[in-house]
Amino acid sequence: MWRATLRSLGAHKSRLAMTALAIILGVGLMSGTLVLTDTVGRTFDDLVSDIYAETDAVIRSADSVDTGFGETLRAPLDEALVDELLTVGDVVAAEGFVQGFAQAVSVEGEAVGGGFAPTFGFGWITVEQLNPFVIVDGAPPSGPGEVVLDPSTAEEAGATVGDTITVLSSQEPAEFEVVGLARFGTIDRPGGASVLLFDLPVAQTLFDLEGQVSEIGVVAVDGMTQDDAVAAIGKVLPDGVEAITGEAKTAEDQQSFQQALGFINTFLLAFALVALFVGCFIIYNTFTIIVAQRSRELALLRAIGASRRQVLASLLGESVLVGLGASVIGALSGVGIALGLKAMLGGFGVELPTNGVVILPGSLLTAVLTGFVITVVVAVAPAVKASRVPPLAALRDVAIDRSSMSVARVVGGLLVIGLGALNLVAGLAAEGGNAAVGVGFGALCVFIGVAVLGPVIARPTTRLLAWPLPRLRGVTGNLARENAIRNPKRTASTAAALMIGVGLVGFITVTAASVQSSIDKILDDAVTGDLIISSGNFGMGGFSPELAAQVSEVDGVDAVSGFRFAFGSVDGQPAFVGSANVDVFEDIADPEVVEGDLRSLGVGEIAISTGKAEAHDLALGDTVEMSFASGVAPLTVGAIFENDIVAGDWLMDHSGIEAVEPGTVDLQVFVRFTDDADADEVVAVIEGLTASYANAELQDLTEYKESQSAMIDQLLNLIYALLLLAIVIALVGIANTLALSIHERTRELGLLRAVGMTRKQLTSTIRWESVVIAVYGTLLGLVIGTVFGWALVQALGSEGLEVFTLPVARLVLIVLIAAGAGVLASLLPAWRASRLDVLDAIQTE
Amino acid sequence: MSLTETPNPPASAPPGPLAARAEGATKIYGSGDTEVRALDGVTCGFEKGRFTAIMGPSGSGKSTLMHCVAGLDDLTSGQVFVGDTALGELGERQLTQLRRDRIGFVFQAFNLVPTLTALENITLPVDLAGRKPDQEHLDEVVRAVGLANRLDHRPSELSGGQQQRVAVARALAARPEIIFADEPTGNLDSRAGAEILAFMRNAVRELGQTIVMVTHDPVAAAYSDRVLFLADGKIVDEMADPTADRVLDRLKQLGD
Ligand SMILES: Nc1ncnc2c1ncn2[C@@H]1O[C@H](COP(=O)(O)OP(=O)(O)O)[C@@H](O)[C@H]1O
Ligand SMILES: [Mg+2]
Repeated sequence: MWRATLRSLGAHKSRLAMTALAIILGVGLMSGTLVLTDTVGRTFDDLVSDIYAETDAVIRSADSVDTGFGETLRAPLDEALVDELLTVGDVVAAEGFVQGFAQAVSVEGEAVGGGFAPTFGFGWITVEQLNPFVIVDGAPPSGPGEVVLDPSTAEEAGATVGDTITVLSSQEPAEFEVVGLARFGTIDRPGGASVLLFDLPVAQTLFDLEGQVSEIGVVAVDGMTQDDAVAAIGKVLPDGVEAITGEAKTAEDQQSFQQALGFINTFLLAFALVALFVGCFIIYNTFTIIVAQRSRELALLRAIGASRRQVLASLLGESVLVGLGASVIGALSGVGIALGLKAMLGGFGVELPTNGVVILPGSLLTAVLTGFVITVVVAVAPAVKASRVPPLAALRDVAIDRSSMSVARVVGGLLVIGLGALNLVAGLAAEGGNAAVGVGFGALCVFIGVAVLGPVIARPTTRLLAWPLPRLRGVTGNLARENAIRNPKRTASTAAALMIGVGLVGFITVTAASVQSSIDKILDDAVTGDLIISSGNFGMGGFSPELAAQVSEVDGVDAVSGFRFAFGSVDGQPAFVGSANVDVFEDIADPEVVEGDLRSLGVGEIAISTGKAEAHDLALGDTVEMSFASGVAPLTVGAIFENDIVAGDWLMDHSGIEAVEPGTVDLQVFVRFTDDADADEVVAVIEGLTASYANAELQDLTEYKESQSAMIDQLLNLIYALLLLAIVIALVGIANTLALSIHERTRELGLLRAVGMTRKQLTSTIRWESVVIAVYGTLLGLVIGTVFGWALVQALGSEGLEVFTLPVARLVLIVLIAAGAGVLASLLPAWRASRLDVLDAIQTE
Repeated sequence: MSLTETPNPPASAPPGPLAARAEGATKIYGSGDTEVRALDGVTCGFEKGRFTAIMGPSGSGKSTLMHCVAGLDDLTSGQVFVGDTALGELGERQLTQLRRDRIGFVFQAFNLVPTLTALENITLPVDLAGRKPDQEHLDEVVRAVGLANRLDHRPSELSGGQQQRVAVARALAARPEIIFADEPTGNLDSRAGAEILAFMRNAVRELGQTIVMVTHDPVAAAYSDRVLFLADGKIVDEMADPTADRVLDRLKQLGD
C-alpha cells in the first residue's frame, strides 16, 4: 500500500505542485518572520553586550516612566555627581551621558530622518571603555560648533568631514562643522535612527540640560566584581538615584528591545497565519478534487481487497509526504524571505539591525511542524470520505457530487457565522489582548461560516455575476459561466481562499477610509486656525519654541500656539500629555471645553478629556497623580473637554509641562490670522522665519489633512503588502483548481477543439471562468470586510471614529485588480489546455 | 418530410465530384521495431452527396483514415484534400476553422458538451464561428431529429440515442461539406442505432449531405451507398449499394 502511495504521488506530481507551493509560501512567511526576529534579536543582544562590555555600573534616576513602546524615560541627574563618583577609591573612570533631539539638515536644505525614524543627539563620551561609538573618519567633537555624524546620516546630508551643516534642536537652528564620522559599534544606523554627536557641554545646551546628565557610566578598578562596584558607589549616591551593574543594564536593554521586537514578531506572524489559513483551503480543495478524480481507482483497490483502513492510510500518506516536503522547503526558504521582509519593512521606514543571519533549529522546527500538521489535518476529511467509496463504484461511472444544497450546511454555516459575530461584538467591546483575541476568533468564524455556506450561495451568485458573459462573449462566455458554476463546492472553496485575503484588505480599506473621514470631520469642526506649521516628526523632535515666539510677532497674526508632548503615566497606564499656549489655544482649535476654564490653566494644573475623566473617575478640582520621568507630579484637574482628537486626552500649558519635563520642543505650531490680514502676505513672512527650520512645513487645514491621510496610507500600504502573500496563495489556488478541472474535462476540451473551437477561444473560456471565480471570491471578501469595518466604526463611534465611509473608488479598483489577477491565474492552465493534442484529448478515458 | 422512416435506399447515383479525397496517404506510428503502418498508401475519394461507409477489421486503420481526412491528424506522407484544399498546407488555426466551417463530426460517444443544452450543442460550431444560425435550416434539422421538445435539456437528461441524434443534428446544422462519423451507433441498442442510421441516410438523400461513416457493423454499412474495405492500412475492395449479407460475406473473406 505504501508503494501505491508513492506511485500515486508520482503520478499526481504536477497536481500536487501547486498545493505544495501554497504550503511553502505560508510556512515560508512564518519561518521568515521567525528567522528575522531571531536575527534582529541576536544582533541587538550582541550589540548591547558589546556596548556595556567594559561598563561596571550605570547610575541613573530611580524613578522612571514607561512610554508604552518598550522604552523607559528617567529624569536627568546633576552633573556634579560625576566628580563625586570619581572620589570613590574603586572608581577608575566615570562620565555622564546625555541624549536629546538633534536633527541634521542636508546641504540641499532638507531635514534628514524624521517621521517615524528617531533623530538622536548624544554627548561624546571621552572614556573609551564607556563609549559605544567608534570614529571611522575625522576626529571626535571637541568644542562648540563641532558635530560628528553616523556615516548614513552624513551620506544623506550630502556632507563629508570638513563641511558645515545646520542642526535642528530645542534651540534655534545653528551651523556646525562636521569634524568626523562615527559608527555605533558595528552598525551604521541602529534602528534607522540618525545620530549626531557633540562635545558634552554643547550637547547639554542643545538639549536644554545645562549642568545635567541623563546617566552616568562607571568603570571600576580591575578585578573588582560589578556587584562590589555597585555597592561601593551606593554610599555616595543621593536619594532618588540608583546604581545597577553593567550586566543588569545589558539585560534590561536587551529585554526592552525584545519586547519591542515581540510586537513586530506578533504583527508579522499574524500575516503568516492568515497565509496558512488561506493555504488550508488550497490543500483541502486539491485533495478533495484529486480524491474525486481517483475514486474509481480507489474503488477498484477496494474491490480487489484493500481494506478501508489501507485506502485511508495510503491517502493520508500522500498528505504526510507533501506536507512534510513542502514545509521543509518553506522553512528553509524562510531565510531568504527574512531578508525580503527586512527590506520591505525598511522600505516602510522600519529599519531593523541585522548582522548575518541567525537560524535557530527551534524556529525552523516550529514552522515545519505548523505546515505539516495543518496539511495532514486538512487532508483528513477528503481522505476519510474517499475511503468510504464502495467497491461497487469501480463498476459504474461515479456521478459528480452536487449535494451542495443541504439543510445541515445552511444551518451549520449560519451557526458558525453567528458565533463569529458574537465574538466580534464581544471583542470590540473588550480591551487590549481580549479584544484582539475576540475579534480575531470572530473573524475566523465568520470566514469559516461563509466558506461552509459557500456551495449554497456560489451557484446563484456566480450565475448572476456572470450573467453578461454569454451576451458579451457568445458561446465562449456561456461555457465560461457554466464551467464556473459547474461544481459549486469546488468554486466555493476556491473562492473562499481569495475571500479571506480580500476580506482583510476590504476591512482595512474601509476602516482606514472611515478613520480618515472621521479625522477630517473633527479637524473641520474643531480647527479654526489658518495655518499649521508641521515638523513631520512623530516620536521625538520638532521645533525650538523660539519659532512659535517669532511667529507670534508677525503682523497679521492673531494667535499662535505650539503643541508639544511628553510621556507620562496614570495608574500605571501610559499617558501622552500634550501642552499648548492655553490662553489662546481655544482661538485656534476647539477642544469643546465642558467644565472649568482652559485659558487660565496654570503650572500644576491639567485639562483632561471626558473619556479619561470617566475612565479614571476624575472630576473638576480633583488631583491626579501623573508620573513623569522627573517623578510624580500631583496635578489639579482645571478643565474637562470633549474633543480628544485635537488636544489628546491630557492637556497642560507649556509652563506646566516645562516644570515637569524641561526641553520639550514643539511638534506643531498652530497659527490664526487676524480677520483683516492678507493671508498670502502673512504666510510669506512666516516662510521667511521658517527658512532655517528645514523640517518645517507650512500647511493650511486641507494640506494638513492630506498629510495625515498620507500617513494612514503608508500604514495601509504596509498591510496591503503583507496581505499580498495570502492573496497570491489564493490565486495559486484558483490556478490549481482550474488545472485540476481542466484535467477532468480533457475529453470535453478535445471535442470542443474538434468541432472548431480555436485555441484562442479555448483560452478565453478558461480565462473568463477564472475571472468569474476571482471576482466572486473578491466580492464575497469585500462584503465581509465592509461589514467588519462598519462594525468597528459602530463600536468605536464614541472614541472619535464617527464617520463610516465606503471608499467606493478603491473597492471598485480592488474588484478590477481581482479580475486582472483572475486572468493571471488562468494563464498557465489555459496555455496547457490550448496545447492539448485534440485527438489524444478526445480519446482519453 | 420524415428523415427517419424511409425504408430501403434507392439505387446509387452515378459517380460525381469529390467532397474529399486521399492520395497515397500513409501514416506510420512509432519507428524501428515498434513501427506500425496504420495507413499504407491509401488513395480514395468521397463523392459529394453520397453516404460512404469504411469497413475493415479492428486495427485496419479506419479511424486513422477518418482522422487524417478530417484534419484531426496529419499524415506521414501523401496528401488529403477537402474540396480543393490540401490539408497538409494548413496551419493549426486554419485546420481548426476548416473543421468548424466545412466538416461535421459524430463520434461514438461523449459527443456533447455537458454544460450546454441540446440546442446550444447543435449550434455550437456556428456559434464558435460567430455566425447566426440559418433559422429555417435549423428548424428543419431539429424537427427531423425529433427533439423539438428536448432542446432545453442538458445531455445528462437525454438517452444515449437522443444524445447521438443531437450530435448528428449538430453535424448537419452547420451545413458542412462533409460529415465524418466514427462508429456513431457503436454504443446504441439496435433500435436507436437504426433510427440514427436512417436519419443520416435521409440527410444524404434529401438534403444532399455528404457523409463518411466508419463502422464494423454490416447492418450499419448497409445504410450507405458505397462501402470501402480497409485491411492493414490499405484499401482492399469496395462495394456499391451494399446489403448486410453481402458486406458480411466480404468481411469473412477479408478475415481469412
Ligand atoms: N496513437 C497511436 N500510436 C501508436 N499506434 C497507433 C495509434 N493510433 C492507432 N495506432 C495503431 O494504428 C493502427 C490502426 O488504428 P485505427 O485506425 O485506430 O484502427 P481501427 O479504427 O480500424 O480499429 C492500429 O494498429 C493501432 O494500434
Ligand atoms: Mg476505430
